[in-house]
Amino acid sequence: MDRPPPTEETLIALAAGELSPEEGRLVEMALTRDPAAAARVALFRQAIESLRTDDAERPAIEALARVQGVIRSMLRPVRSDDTAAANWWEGLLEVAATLFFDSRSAPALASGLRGTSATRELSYRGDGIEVDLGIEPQVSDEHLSASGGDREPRARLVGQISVHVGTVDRIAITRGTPRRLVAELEPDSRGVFMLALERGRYDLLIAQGDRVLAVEGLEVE
Amino acid sequence: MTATEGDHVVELLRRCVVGEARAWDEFIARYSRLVYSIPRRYGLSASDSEDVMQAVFVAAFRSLARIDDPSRIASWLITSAHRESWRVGRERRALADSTEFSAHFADLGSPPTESTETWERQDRVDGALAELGGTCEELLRSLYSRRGEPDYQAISARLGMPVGSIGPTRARCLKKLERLLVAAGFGADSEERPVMSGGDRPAGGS
Repeated sequence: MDRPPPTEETLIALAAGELSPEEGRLVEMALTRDPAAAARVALFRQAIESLRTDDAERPAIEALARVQGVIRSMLRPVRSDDTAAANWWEGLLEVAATLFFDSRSAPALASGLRGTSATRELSYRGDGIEVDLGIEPQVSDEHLSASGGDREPRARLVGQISVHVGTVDRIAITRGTPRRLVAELEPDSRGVFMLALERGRYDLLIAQGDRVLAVEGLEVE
Repeated sequence: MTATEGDHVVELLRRCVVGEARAWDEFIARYSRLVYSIPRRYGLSASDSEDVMQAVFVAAFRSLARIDDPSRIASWLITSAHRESWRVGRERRALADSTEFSAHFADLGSPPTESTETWERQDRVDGALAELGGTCEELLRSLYSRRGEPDYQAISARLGMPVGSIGPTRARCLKKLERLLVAAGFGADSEERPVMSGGDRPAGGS
């Protein structure tokens, strides 16, 4: 007696490997008489198998953010002598954020972890804004940009800017007085940014709407 | 990739080429699994694989404007990851000396066709799922993105979906996925794979 053709649910269960060996054998047999259904099972199998990956084959969120930061830092490599774009903050600077945590001067905080690593952590607060910075010393340019370059040791500055209202439009890193622009970039949707800096003293300028906030006197060693 | 997903990728790459930061974030997020998984499958450590991933995206940053056919970006990234895996792997003496590692690089210029097809297929399914979005994407990824038996109770709790609804919802979602994949010729091209033009091949290599 002819068996009814397999239902769609049965085809999917077969593709997902959910049928018993005996059920599977019977459905496979039915598929030899139904090439269209066999093709559907093949497609479902390929799709399901394509989805299955080991966790080890997924990059860590931090690694992903690092690559995004590297590319962002390459997007607008404005140099200090590029004066055309170097003074977008002029006339806007109005608010300074103040330091309220420095891991170097508060090593005992946060169960002793902060302050003990090579990364210096700094937190600033301003009007409606919080800025967390990590300065990781001695990162080679090659590691940061994969571009070779002069191999001059640099620090990696990783930051996250949290604003109570709205979003951060862009940020600038400047040096000296009067300010010379070293880099200008947009943080990602979480306010995260990253860039490589040589040793020196910098100011971080944060543009939000029609105001610019300054985090001044950032020592990079 | 599906037709609509293909259009999206072309538009995404156009935005990257003009230097839009958020487009680059999306591009990297979209293809990071594809790129990172290749050195991992060749036996590179997580740290070395991260270096490969970074180098590939930096290379893409420099070359994207010169890629003739944006719809072949997955192939470009695969070939680039293959070559970069060789470069990083051979610096690890223990790895470079292993027969298993070397076996992946019979052709230093590009990975075996079979591997490329598998990875492109995975990438297409990833793209189609992203296009489905919503409950379907969440459910199918929850059910199948890890090996082994799915934990229906946990999936039910996480998605707020009764266990009894998972089966019928899965069937509906797989049918939608099937439609997207069929429209894109998924499966039909596994025997005859388009060949990249010379201009689309990553420069450098071995």
